[in-house]
Amino acid sequence: MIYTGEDNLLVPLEATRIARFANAVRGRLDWQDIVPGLADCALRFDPDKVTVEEALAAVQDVLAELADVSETASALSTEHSLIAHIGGPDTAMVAERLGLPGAAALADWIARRTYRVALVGFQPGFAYLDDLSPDGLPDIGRLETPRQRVAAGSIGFLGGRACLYSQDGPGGWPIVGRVEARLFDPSDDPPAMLSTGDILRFEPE
Amino acid sequence: MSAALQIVEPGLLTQLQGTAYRGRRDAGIPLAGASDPLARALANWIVGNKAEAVAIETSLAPFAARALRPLNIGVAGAGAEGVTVNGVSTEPHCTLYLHEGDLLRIAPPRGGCRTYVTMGGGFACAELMGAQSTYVPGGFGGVGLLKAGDRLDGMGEASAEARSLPPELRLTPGEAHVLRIVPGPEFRSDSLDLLTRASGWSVGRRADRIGIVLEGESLPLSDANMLSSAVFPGTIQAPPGGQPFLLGPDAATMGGYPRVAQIIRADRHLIGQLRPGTRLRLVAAGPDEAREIYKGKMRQLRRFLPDIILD
Repeated sequence: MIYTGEDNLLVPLEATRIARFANAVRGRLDWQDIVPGLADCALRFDPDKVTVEEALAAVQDVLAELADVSETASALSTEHSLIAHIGGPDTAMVAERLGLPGAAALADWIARRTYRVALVGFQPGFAYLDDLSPDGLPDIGRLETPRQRVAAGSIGFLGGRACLYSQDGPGGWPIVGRVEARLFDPSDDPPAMLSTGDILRFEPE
Repeated sequence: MSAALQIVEPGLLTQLQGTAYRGRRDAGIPLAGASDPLARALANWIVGNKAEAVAIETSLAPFAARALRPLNIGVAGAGAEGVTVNGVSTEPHCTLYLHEGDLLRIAPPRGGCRTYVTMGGGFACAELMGAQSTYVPGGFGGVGLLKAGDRLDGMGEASAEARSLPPELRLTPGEAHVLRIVPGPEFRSDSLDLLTRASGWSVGRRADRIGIVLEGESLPLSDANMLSSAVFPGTIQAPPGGQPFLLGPDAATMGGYPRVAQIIRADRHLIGQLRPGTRLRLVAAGPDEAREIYKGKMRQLRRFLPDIILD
């Protein structure tokens, strides 16, 4: 059921369809914001420029079109291969949970994984990643006590989900390493490196 | 561009705010911009600026600045009735003309929280992502938090015209507030009933641009596990602690707590005037009604402020 607020809609969607929905709905109306979530996409509009009927009709049109399209990853996704240094403070714990002997084995393991960027949020440029084949992966919990300071570029890891911290700040995820890439630069265009739907792999050094 | 104003008493959380970061939430960039964009637009009007020209936003504490050259200044929002130049009271909501060396001072406001100080032509502020706003939690935009001794440059031409706000726009925030809400995506009727109770809420000590804790009763806890989803300024969340949390312009763009309600668009600028310890009543409205209220308000405001934007 689509939530209809005063100036925003919330469309529930399966994770694999969100990027496609967001891209398809973008050109239909003068939206103020299109914001993917983990299981939905929010759309914000100005009621002075767009009526709620127009907004709902645009959403229904796109959903109907997408119903005919298969769910496999679009060939048009941007792909990233990020140089990573595996070996953060929680590396030993995560390796053990995966049944691996240590950091070097974890690095080899993570090099073979493929992730989809589920959403960008929490911090500018912060990315939430979904492993494309999560079955059988352990469900690692967040830290009991979040760290006061996690460095920008840190890789958080929960099993089927990972994340990339885009700036220094507090963090509650187990940390297994760091990427070299700058994930967010406000003076760049676009300022955030990653977008929902992008495909990402790690290149451990 | 030359040095125009030197900060003497900085006030709290004082920062430059111009055009907001619009349409960037999918990159995790919040709106930022003025907490009370209507008060900022009115202060800008007084000195002949566009509604979103870069202004100083200051909160609560006394604010004082010295003119480094002749300037025209506007003040609107909380405390507009307590502005002095060289210790002498000024007529509120009118253009102030400062000579070099004059000291502008705004006393702690009786009601409301945020005051906007504008200068003819606007304050100089680098453009970032097409906007001119400070986003303190991300460490970018503007010139950070203003401190005593900081000098601000002006930009653009100053209008010489003396202006005075009409009576109906001399909006002075009071000591109690009423804001209207529509149900949010995770609304529950028991939570909504509590939020709209007659005795209202007390604005908590935690009240900043990221969000405001509402103190009163605890909202019922949700057992549903919510997957991260978009939030907006004006969203009221029900966190595990029970105290409702009202999001402001600097709140992170994603949230994992139930979104029980949303402040209506016409009232969102008033979030910027919520001051710790004051009373807040929330009144329920339906989405259709909220849209009509917003459109009506914009029609009225645009007659006077043709470029006003309320997000």
